[in-house]
Amino acid sequence: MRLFDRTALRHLLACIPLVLASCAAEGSGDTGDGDGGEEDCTDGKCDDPGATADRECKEKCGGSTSNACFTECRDAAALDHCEARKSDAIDSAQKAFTPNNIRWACADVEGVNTNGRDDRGQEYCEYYAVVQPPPPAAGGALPDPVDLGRNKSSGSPTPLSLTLNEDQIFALEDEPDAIAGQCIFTSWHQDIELRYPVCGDSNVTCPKLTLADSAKLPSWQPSREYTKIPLTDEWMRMKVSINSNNAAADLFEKGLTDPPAGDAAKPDDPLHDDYIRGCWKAYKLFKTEWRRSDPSVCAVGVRLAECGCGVDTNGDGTADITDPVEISRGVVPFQPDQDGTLRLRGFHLGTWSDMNQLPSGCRYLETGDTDSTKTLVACDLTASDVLSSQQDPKQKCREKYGDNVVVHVPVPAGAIVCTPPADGQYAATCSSMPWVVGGAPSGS
Amino acid sequence: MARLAIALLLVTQAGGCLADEPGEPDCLLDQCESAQSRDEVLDAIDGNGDAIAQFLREAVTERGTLVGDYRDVLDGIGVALGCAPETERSFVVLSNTGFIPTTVFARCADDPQLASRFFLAIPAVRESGEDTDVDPQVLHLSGWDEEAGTFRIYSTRPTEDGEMGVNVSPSFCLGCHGGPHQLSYWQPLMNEMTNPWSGWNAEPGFRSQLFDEFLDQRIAEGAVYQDITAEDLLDSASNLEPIIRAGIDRLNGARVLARERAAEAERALALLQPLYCDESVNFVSEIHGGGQIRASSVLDPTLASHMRAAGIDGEWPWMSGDDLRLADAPSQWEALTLVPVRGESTLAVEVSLVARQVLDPMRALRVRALDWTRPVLSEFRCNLFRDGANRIRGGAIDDEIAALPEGTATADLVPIAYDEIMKLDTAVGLIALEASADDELVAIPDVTEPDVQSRLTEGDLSALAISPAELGDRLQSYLEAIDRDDLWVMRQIRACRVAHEYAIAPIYPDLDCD
Repeated sequence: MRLFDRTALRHLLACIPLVLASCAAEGSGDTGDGDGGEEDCTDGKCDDPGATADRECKEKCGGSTSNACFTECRDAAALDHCEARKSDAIDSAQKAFTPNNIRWACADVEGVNTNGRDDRGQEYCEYYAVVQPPPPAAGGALPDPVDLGRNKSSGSPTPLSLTLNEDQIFALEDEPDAIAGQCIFTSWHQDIELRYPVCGDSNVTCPKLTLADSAKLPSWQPSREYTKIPLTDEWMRMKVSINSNNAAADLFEKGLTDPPAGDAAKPDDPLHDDYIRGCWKAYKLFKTEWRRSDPSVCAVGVRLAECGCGVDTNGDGTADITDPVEISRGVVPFQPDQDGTLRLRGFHLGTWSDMNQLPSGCRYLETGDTDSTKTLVACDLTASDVLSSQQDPKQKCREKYGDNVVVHVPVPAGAIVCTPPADGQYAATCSSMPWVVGGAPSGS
Repeated sequence: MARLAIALLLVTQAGGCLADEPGEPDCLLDQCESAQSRDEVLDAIDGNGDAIAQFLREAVTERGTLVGDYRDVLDGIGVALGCAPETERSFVVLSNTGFIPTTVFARCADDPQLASRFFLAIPAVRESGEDTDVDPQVLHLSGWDEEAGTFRIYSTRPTEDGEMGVNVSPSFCLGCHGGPHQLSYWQPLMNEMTNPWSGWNAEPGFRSQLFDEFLDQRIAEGAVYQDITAEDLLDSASNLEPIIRAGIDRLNGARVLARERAAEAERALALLQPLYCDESVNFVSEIHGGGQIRASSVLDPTLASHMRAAGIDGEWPWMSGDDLRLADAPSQWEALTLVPVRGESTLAVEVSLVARQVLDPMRALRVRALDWTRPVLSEFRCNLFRDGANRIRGGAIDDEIAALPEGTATADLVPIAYDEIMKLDTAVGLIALEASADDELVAIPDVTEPDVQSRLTEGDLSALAISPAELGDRLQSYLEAIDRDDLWVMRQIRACRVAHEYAIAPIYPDLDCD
């Protein structure tokens, strides 16, 4: 067995993020807004499944959110959300739990939409579209590329729709498989301020977003480089406050504490299900049970807690880190590290079949990071894609690629040791890898 | 038994059509025909600009044959495509002919745009002594001809001399790929284009639904099958899907370009037919019994697109979600599988017409609002088109056509043809299927309802006119009320139609259409 000293383990664990990160939302349906702060969604401005459930239950219960009617209604909705998420995570073909990773798609769940405001980007992965429109008139000046649905440091996201005139439509149509745009997927944590190493000492020297060498360039685009789109934090870092390192660590800590339990006297209590307990934890903490990430992350935390798991730093088979705070900061350490090294810019992006691969049409963008190297992905939008999605190219990104750009939270399987408590209600079902909720599939 | 019944639903080929069972094939149309000389092949491919034609010009023998098998063909065409062998991937589906595995190959598979220029399918099996294996010499091929804006198709069959006979532009392929409306061109097909791709190998990354259980192990152990599904070749259906979509986009783009050609009634009708008649169908399945299934099983997906294009945003959830959530199936084996939905290639034409401003979105919405609880296989909508097309062919808009300025394109004729199609023959004569108020449309959930029938017969549309916003509300209510039993009934009804009308229909052994 490998031996780890605590310093080395911190380095190791920094690459293994965090389970509960996504549970660390600040409140019901809180997505943060363009200015990076939290926003109260109780007025119904946010439209996600949690806020929708709140609104509907409030209406059903006489306008109150503090009576038993509301609680019962909202609990029932939460259970429905949890069943849906369990279906995604365990029953579907895209397993959320593997021996070495927790995974979820970057694409938001249904119900996260643009009603009221654009709430997309809930899953520790934000995305937007960039389109290089043709000149408005044949032979005319090339307009700047347009970013659509990008969260900004301040203010609302950039507009969603593209306006094309007839000449531009014809130009796109004449070259349907030319690459006219990009979908950007980023997992760079909102509170990590260090710029990409490829930028050197200044944002001014950041490289620009560039098409792949193999991309078929449209005739109206003289260069592969989008000169107005640098790889700066403004363009490439996540902006929603819950998508942050601190939120992740906070949630991890909370997820490891006081796992919920079903009623032992009721065999059909849904909380007897391992996944549902984790999802319920997410609900009780922050009412974010409707997301992909939070319930999965919490499910792992709950199982680790129930099964008496901790981290073995010296390979003697005994957990010597068991405190939730220590574990949480061991897994999601403050960044940069004590030696100034950034080891966790964000969660790893890959695809279902391989955490170091991407779906067809996508590629990693070089950031210069030596750890946490796969946090920025660009995927091709053809002229045909742009033509068919003018009202909302960001939605095209979600539909075409979002399900298969997969956030990976590596689990340090080799360093976790578990000693289920003898009297633990769910200890009997603690397998050798209790974090693989629903059983261990093959693969990563 | 239920498990077997449900499991027997599989799918059809993507790049080819008509899997061959072992033994003497029942030759459909020209399925077993081959050219008899090199000159015959060269004459047949004269003017073809696709990579397969390029390969044939180099490789076809004096006898009109090819030497070798699929490997030689793939390698040769790969050179013509500029796609190296290591970019090759294979995808396997269990066909609707005795679950024979059909393997589809792509080159430059990591780039869906490049890959969509060429497909090769190996659809047949053969018996060799005690063994049954994939036949490496029965090939179905399609290659994109950029200049012509179409896919060129070819097939090969083994000759007595052990070579492969070549058939250029085989008509038998259009039985599947041209659909029941007899399109004259080949279009890429992938029956299920969404997770879980029932009947396809979806590994790695996705757990296959039924594939492993129904793949014939005798075939699976065959040497050729092992070769074509080797670890470094075999890929998931999830990665074929974007390639097929790129192929559909490619073809759709060429098709819609016809609007720029000189105004001609038949061209306009060819562009409008997809709005009304289902030239193609696809199938969606519930994911592993977990209650999640595509919303296109219930609502036409273009409704959302047209509403957005028309600037109508009622903030309905149905406009922004792809999936419908039902209660979980009692077991995985009772999942809703292969529910027919509107074909991707068909609705792509409609979306393109609106995106290219040939039809304004309200016009498209007016069609979608008719019989809207039937997103696919609406006889009312298709008959509306047929009747209108007949009137047009009989001269109904000849005066309007004659009045068009010289040089008018088909795009300008499309709205005129549309207006003629959107007329209903009633007791009071031919009436326009439109609301009296400009900001309303005639919306009919179910055209078979007796009350609706009588109104349509009498030509009384007033009670059927609503605003698009109200339509949106009704769609939302409808979607919220749908349950598993409702969808099961829809599936059965549609499946019975598809089984009779579409050659690509999967096997539905649990279907009772009587």
